[in-house]
Amino acid sequence: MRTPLTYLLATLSLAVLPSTALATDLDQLDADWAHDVVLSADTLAQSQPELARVIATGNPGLSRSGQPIFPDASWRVPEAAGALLVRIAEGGESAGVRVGLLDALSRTKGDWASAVVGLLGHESNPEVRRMMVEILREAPVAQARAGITLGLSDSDAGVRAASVRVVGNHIDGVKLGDLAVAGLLDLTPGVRTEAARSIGYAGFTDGFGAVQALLTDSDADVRYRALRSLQKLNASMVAGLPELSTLATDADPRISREASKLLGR
Amino acid sequence: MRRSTLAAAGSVLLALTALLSACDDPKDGGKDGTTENGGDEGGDEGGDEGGDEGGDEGGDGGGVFTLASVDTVVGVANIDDDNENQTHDWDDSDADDEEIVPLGYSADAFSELGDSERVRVELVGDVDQLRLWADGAVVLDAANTTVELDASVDGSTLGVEFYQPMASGALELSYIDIDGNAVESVTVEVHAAPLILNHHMQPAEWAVAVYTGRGTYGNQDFIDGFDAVLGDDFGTVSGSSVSYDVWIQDELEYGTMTAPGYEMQVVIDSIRSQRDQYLDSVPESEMWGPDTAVWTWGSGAVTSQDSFGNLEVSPPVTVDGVEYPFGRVYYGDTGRYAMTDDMQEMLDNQKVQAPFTLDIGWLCVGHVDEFMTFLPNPDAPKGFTLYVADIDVGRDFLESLDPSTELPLYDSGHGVDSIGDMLDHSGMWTYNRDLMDEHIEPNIDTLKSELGLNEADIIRVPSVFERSTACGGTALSLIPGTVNMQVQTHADGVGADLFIPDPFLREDVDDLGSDPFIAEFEAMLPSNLTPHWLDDWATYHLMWGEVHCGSNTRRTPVGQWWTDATHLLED
Repeated sequence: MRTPLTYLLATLSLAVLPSTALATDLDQLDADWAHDVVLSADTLAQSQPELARVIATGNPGLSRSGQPIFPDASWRVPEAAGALLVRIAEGGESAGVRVGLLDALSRTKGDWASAVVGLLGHESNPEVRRMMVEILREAPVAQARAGITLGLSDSDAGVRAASVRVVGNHIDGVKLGDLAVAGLLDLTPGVRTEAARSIGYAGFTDGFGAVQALLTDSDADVRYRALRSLQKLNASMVAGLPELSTLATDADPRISREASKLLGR
Repeated sequence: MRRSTLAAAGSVLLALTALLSACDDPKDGGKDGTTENGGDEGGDEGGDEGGDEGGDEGGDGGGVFTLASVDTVVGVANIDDDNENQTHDWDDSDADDEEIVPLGYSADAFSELGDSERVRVELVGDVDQLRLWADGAVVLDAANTTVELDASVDGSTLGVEFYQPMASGALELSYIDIDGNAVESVTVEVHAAPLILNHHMQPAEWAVAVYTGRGTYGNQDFIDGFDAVLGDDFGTVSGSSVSYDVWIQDELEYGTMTAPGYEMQVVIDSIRSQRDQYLDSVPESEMWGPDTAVWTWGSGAVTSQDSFGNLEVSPPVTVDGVEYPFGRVYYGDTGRYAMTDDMQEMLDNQKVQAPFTLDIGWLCVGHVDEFMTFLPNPDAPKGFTLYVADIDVGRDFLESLDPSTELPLYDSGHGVDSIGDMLDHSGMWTYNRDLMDEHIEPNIDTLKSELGLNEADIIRVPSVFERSTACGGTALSLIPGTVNMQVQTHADGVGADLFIPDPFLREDVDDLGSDPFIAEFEAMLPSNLTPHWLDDWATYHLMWGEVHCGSNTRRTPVGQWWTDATHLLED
């Protein structure tokens, strides 16, 4: 929670000081998106100072599972995006609060995607990076592709899993399917599982063969998800797969049940 | 102590079956063989009706002392707070505490003992959870498990105190003659009531919610909705006093402990909030008192599964010929996380509600109240109906609507601006398909198996889930979770007021009558149920919960476990 002093400073900076005082980190970045963010926040501070103030200082409510959430409907407007990005970029708050801010950002329908991809490369907290990637499901395909690509090389498996999950959640996920195929080779089973799932959700039929290869994965969750995903891609082709007879005797009951069903047993 | 109407007031005598007598040793000149006793039959008949040896010896012409006793003493754990000093009564009880259960002896029951005669009493079983009181003091506990009583003891002051539900043991009473020999003995089983959690067929007494006022997180309309229907049977906790933690369903679970003549409400205080933060102190500060106990099972690391929206009870059922007259407890388990082991162990130990688990790993919050509830239904085969979220029914329902219908609240809250927009997202529906196939249907199968249900006992409610961003891709209700409602059952156990989250699946958010979802769901309700649609959108729905999560209900205990559920208590 911010102190009254920082509250006051934040208010003053948004309302009075030049935009360079808004967020030092952003100002140091030589990138169009950073300049756009600062300009957007400054514009909001001039045009809607009260909204700018509450975005800069508002406290979250706690979701039922304890996640800080900002449900204020007045924030869910495109022009709020810049001010939210400034607060996120400041980085002085807990990871949970910043995740909540990213959630609010994703609901503005504003032009925030390039900035989030840009910030992703500078963010040190994996929980925040994961959320940065996660919300790219709402981003245009180009920015989503850039963010997923960055996320797939992340050292944190949770970020990599979130990256492939975007493919399955994106309205144009089929255009991002190749990135999920790359995730099928991840060393972490949870990432392979999410990649297989996303290929199915996106309907990326070109990924059928790559997902089929996971039917012999050492991890049961991966095998199960691959089998489920393949049915979404081409149900009739799955019924003829040679792996099914082995899977029908899989030690994991989910897999054996699913394979047996496909075999008509 | 509130006296239950379930049994004669003050009665603890379950079965007066043992009537043993013992004779004074002829060498005991002090008794002079003329001892009167509390058990005329034993003395007069020389044991024909009771303990044979005692009777025989009595027949030798000596004096008679009788250990008249009961088989079993049943009580409730003394963890309420009669004197309202924020201390469990067990820790500061006195001899007048009403939860101390008399053994049933008369004041002069021991007065006929000779100078050298004693009654030795031994405490066995859960000795750390049982006590025997006599003459205003504790005479048996974990530290002292044997005591000898003489003629001076006032028999009417002998009473048993219990520390925890299901505490059990025995008092072994032996008459010690003048030579120090144990001539006769009798065993009194002592048993504390199980803690029985409430189900929706039980009458509701009082509901509670956290009031957060107006503004961004305000819930004035929500509170007004409860208040208008329940009046004095509804109370609030000030939001400012609990850091606006509105999730009072998760903080506490109501149950009861009953015994013949005894009835105690129990508030299980979850470990979800600790160190007096958020709602942590509410059970102690606002509920604990005479006849209302507060207790916490577990400590340490907390998961969302420790919240009590993840702990519910079915109505009474019969499964494979086994009757569960108090229903069965169910709670969610993600496979990796479940409620704290201490809590699970406690629930298992109560036996009468035989817990089972459901898969909730697919849900963001991970509570069983997010996708199902039970409602009284006198027209249903079992007197109740399971209402459960169903994706297919949800899809069919939405497809029956005008796709151009705008959804103002969903546009802001979920990024979906119309019915058509909701239907168009193929990835979301594929995800929902998986939820149904992989989680909801298997859970329904579990419920059928564990509760002896079939499809005729189930109504499927239109539902749609979205895949969360802040929750690792797990599920949150897109349309407010209809089944996540509060059920205020009437005194008859049949009628009920239902407080249901307003779905806002309409263009004019102020016109409930124009909402097709409301019409659809109300058509699914039997006439004994009265729906009340509450606006929980900003304060609860967008914060990943609904009406049930934000309220709680105290209920009246029904049934007598000591007669109706003994088959479940057998090892």
